[in-house]
Amino acid sequence: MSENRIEKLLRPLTKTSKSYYLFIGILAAIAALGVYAWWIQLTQGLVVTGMGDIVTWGLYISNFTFLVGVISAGILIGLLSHLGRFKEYKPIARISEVVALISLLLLIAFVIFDLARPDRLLIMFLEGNIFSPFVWDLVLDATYMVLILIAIYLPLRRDIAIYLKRAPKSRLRWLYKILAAGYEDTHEEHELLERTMWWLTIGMTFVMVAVHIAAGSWIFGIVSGRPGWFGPFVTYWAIATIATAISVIILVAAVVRTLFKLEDFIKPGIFKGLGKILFGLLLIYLFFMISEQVTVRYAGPVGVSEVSTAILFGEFAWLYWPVIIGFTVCSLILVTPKLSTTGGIVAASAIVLVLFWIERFLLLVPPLSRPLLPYPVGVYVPTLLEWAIMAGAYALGVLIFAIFIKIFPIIELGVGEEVER
Amino acid sequence: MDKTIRISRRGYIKIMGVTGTLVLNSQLPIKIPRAKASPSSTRYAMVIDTTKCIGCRNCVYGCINENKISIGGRWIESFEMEFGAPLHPPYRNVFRGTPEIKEGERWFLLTQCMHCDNPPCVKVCPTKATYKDENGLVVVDYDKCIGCRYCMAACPYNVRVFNWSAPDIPADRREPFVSSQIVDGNVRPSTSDVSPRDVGVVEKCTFCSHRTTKGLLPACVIACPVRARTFGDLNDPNSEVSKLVRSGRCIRLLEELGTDPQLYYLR
Repeated sequence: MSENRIEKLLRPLTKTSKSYYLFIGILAAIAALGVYAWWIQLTQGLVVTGMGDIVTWGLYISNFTFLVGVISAGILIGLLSHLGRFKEYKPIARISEVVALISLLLLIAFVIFDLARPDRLLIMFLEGNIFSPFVWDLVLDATYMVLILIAIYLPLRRDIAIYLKRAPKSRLRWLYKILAAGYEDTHEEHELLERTMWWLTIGMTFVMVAVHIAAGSWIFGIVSGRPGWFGPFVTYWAIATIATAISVIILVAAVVRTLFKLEDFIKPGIFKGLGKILFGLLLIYLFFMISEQVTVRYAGPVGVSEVSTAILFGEFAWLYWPVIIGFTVCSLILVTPKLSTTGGIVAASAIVLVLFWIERFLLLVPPLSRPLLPYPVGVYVPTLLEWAIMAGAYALGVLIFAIFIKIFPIIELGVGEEVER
Repeated sequence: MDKTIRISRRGYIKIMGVTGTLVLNSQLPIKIPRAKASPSSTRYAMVIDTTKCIGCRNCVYGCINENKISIGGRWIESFEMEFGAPLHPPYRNVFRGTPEIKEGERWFLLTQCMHCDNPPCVKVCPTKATYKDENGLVVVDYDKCIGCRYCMAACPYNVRVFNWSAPDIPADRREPFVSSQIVDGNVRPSTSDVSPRDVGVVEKCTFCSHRTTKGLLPACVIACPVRARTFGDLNDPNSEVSKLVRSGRCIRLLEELGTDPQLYYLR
């Protein structure tokens, strides 16, 4: 029984189909296209993007804010499932953590895409202005990177040790030997690991709160000259970040589960549980969205009202109303017993994910497009090149995940061992 | 064995925690990079008399020539405002109609960097590339700008200009620009020594700091045919700007944001 369980969990490592290589090839091609597009941008300047002196930020920064959430909440869900309290979520622990790590890498990539002079990035580290939210973000992201790597590595080391004991015929034995670093999976070692993970979870929770607040909202919330950004209310972005992360994790878990036939481990209960949290977050978020507009429409100052008009009735309306309707529909799907099957929850998460991406764009661009002085309204239409860079970045992210899943077990090998004992 | 390791690890964490807290605390109290000009230093300011301005835009082009601004960019923006339009948002009645100027039917709002005493752009710049200099000017160090454009997003006046591509100066403006100014009754010519900015950096009005350090007036001031612009030191109580600002007739744009702009308008 035990052998069978571990064998099932190791299936992605041992068996690889032809379509996998095709998939990898397609992803690599898209990523290469993105690199080429970035090269064009580097050599010709940001003139090749749709951004201008009025709308100075676009797709790159909007993806940046989108990913901030995936990182913070992804790692939180991953770590919490190591605690005994939430152990039924342990099968998705590593999925969440790896998704968070990849999001962090992509986030850094998007910041670099946005910089016109990435060659001078080092100045930010060497003589940065400690009062700039960009620098806060940089410091937090660096901290985060270290913590995520530790959080992924420690339980992974145990899995690698278990895998090595089975004497696999892998070309990567040398890598596994280095990574296992002498771990033998004795009872003491295992206990120490569990205890370390507990402390790590507690520590990370605080860092997560910090990253949320700093990156998710302060970059924009402190700008007094941009109605629509300024104010503490942008902290409701934090709700969006957790909801985004949950929908990404649901999606990735569903794909991994189906492709590698891991239904025995990623059980419907996990999707039900995450679906419930997502439902609650969607309701809160809808409430915030509506209450924000009601306040502004009722007696908003001129600047905020202009932004609100642009969103509700202006050029952004075709993006805004689908978000409102979509969130409502998705929360209905998630709350109706007949519809909230695993398939229903996964479909709702996919829609929610896209809608939150649009919502991030709406939080970023409309306030920039309405200057306070009598400038003409700022117009921003992303160019094909920006889309190419974005597609390339996400393709690279999926590529990293696809390679990871073939080298390391994506579900902790410890899953289900308590039942067997 | 196991126990001693655990205790030493905890001790280590404690020491690291205490050290970390001390290091962080030593950074406090927070000093926001805001130069509150000391009484002895210079505090440059400008007053634009909107009742004198005829909207000829000589200042706009004088500035472009003097500062070698790339095609499409301008550091001074001019808006035609319908008569009676207020000097604060919303500018719903901005004049965007026929170009013929009729007396008394419109007035002109000229904007450029306000050289705020509490500049939002300086606060958010991640590399200290934009900063407040000793004369109270907000300036950009083009060698340190990483092109993140956070300052542009933070500037409520939208007066910052980005070099989206490599500088492109038309052939007739490539020669060094020569302007002349009457100093103590004598015509004093001066050649602009400003070079175009590199691709990927933010630029904006400097109150012509390269001229003012030589005792000359900014290019827009000498370009104005009706002397609508007055430039000077606010710390000198006898300067013309000081007198105008003290007259109580001046207003500033978006004053409610607390940026403390140093560009004043007479109405």
